[in-house]
Amino acid sequence: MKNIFRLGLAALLLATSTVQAQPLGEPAPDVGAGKKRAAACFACHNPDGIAKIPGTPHLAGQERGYLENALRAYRDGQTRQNPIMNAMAKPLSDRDIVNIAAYYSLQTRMNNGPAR
Amino acid sequence: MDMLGMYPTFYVPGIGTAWVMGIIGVIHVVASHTSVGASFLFALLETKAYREDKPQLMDFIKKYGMFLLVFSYIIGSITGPGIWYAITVASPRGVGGLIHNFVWVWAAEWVYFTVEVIGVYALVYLIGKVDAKTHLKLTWSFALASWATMLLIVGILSFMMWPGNEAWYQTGSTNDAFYNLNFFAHLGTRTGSMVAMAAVVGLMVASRLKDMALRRSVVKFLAPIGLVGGLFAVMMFLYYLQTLPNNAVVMLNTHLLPVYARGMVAVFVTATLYLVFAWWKPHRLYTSLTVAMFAFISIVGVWPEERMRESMRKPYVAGQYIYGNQVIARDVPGKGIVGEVDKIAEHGLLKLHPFVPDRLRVINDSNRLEVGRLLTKVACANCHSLEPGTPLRNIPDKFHGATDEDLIAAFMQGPLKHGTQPYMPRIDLPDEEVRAIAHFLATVNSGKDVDHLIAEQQKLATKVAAK
Ligand code: HEC
Ligand code: HEC
Repeated sequence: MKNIFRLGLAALLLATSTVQAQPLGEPAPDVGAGKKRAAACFACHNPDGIAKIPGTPHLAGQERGYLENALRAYRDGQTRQNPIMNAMAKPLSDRDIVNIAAYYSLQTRMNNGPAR
Repeated sequence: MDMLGMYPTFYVPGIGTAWVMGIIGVIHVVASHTSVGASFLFALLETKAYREDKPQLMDFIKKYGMFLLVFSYIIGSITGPGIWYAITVASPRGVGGLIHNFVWVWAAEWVYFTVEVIGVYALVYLIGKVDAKTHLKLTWSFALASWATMLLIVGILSFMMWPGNEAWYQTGSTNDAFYNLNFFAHLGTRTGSMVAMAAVVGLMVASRLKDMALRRSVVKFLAPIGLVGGLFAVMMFLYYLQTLPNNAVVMLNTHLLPVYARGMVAVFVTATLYLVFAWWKPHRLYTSLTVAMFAFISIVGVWPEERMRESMRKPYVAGQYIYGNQVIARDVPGKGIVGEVDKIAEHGLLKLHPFVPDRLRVINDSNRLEVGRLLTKVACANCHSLEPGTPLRNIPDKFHGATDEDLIAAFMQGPLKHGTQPYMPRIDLPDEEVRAIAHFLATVNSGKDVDHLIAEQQKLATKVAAK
């Protein structure tokens, strides 16, 4: 229950902030579509954004703008180079990036221990 | 162009050939460890009987010996060849590699095994028919031969994990392969656990003894030996963990320990409590409880142990030079072996694999799905089952049902092409083949009946060809 509430709140905040941050005419991110598109990403980052594989970062609750920038940087392959992520980001469209970033930014870091 | 020395890939839907091998292997390990451990218990018990002049102990040995003959040797010798069949089908090149290294080691193992089998018959049927001292010598020879079979096998099994040194790759010598880095730790772990297992089976037999005084003396003798064996096994296992390569450590920490650690601790604690209890109150030992205990150790203890050893070795099947999917991972100058990954990247599996049907060697719209299925089986199915929900780390679930071909292809063009995942082979394939695999996996993930679709396409293709 609490989670749903928090998620709702976050979505609300997000919705308002998009209205402010984005130029007119840009539609709000579609979290559902982001989740669907990100299925292959779950192989390493997991649906909850808490990764288990060593060297793979958690994405849960990360800043939305940061995630978007990271994915764009991987896709362009100039400023961020990594054999995994350059390939994984290449097929993503601008919309995909917005949606996926929104999906992960909405998750909470529920792991109890320190981040691994 | 020269074909690669690949064999057809056998695929068992759902559990994969890996689990078929695993199930046979576990039954075999339980039977064979029990018999090797029991041979030592016999030798120790008989020495005690001889020194303290307690011939009634020989009754117990005879009973236990009969039990072993029926249980271990029959099960062990059915599952032994079973393992050979299963591994030859599942991993022909892995087995080939091992035979080229260890043919004389296996020959020696067979000699000891023959001694062992003849020994156990002689031991059981000659009780009371030859003088005590001769029989004692016979029993000790039986014990040593049994342990020798295990020692030789452990050298081979531990080489499968890795040689642990560069020397073998250069020399290709059997010695460098056999005395690998984790040989002693592995041997110790198995020796300790086989003694503990044999002690539990011994208690099972002892619980059938009507003569309470005899039962007490047997149990008081077996229980502490079992405890020491178990403790030794655990210590050696901790040492063993220190001798593992990096890919194994990653697998262990991310995938295996979270699943199996609790069960293993539970086995150790329960077995210890049980042995202590038996030691303390031999007359309260019930057969049903002992049998349950033994089943518990086999299922919660041996299965994870064998599974872990198999999984930790990923991506390799043997010596860190043959990948699980049968591709040679690197050069081994000592054996004149040349790595194949780059050659496959350049020409593709469809051209280099000798068992690809001709109609599938060139991809077109009407066979893409079928080629995808074939390539996925060749490249992935040794380690992954292909049906959602099945136990051998099935690929659809690994991709969380992803239906986007482009992202599945990206997974192959990024992580797999560059070999970034320490537990997976570097799989570098030409673009078309990557797309065929991605097409197949995406179709499976979208819930369509792939086999049916392929059958339809085949029908269509033959019709077109007939016109
Ligand atoms: C094979 C495993 C794997 C897959 C699949 C994968 N990632 Fe990654 N991801 C990584 C690794 C490893 C890193 C760290 C790379 C680095 O060091 O730059 C990373 C980094 C990232 C980052 C940057 C995080 C940060 O804190 O800077 C983002 C965002 C990300 N991935 C998103 C995705 C998305 C979206 C997908 C699916 C399209 C995806 N990943 C698929 C392994 C993977
Ligand atoms: C030699 C064995 C082996 C082969 C061959 C192999 N894999 Fe894997 N794969 C593994 C192991 C081990 C894991 C770790 C996951 C586990 O045990 O649950 C894994 C994990 C994965 C994952 C999850 C992401 C990750 O890094 O954990 C995906 C997706 C995957 N494999 C796809 C494939 C595909 C597609 C192929 C064939 C092109 C393939 N694998 C071939 C052994 C293999």
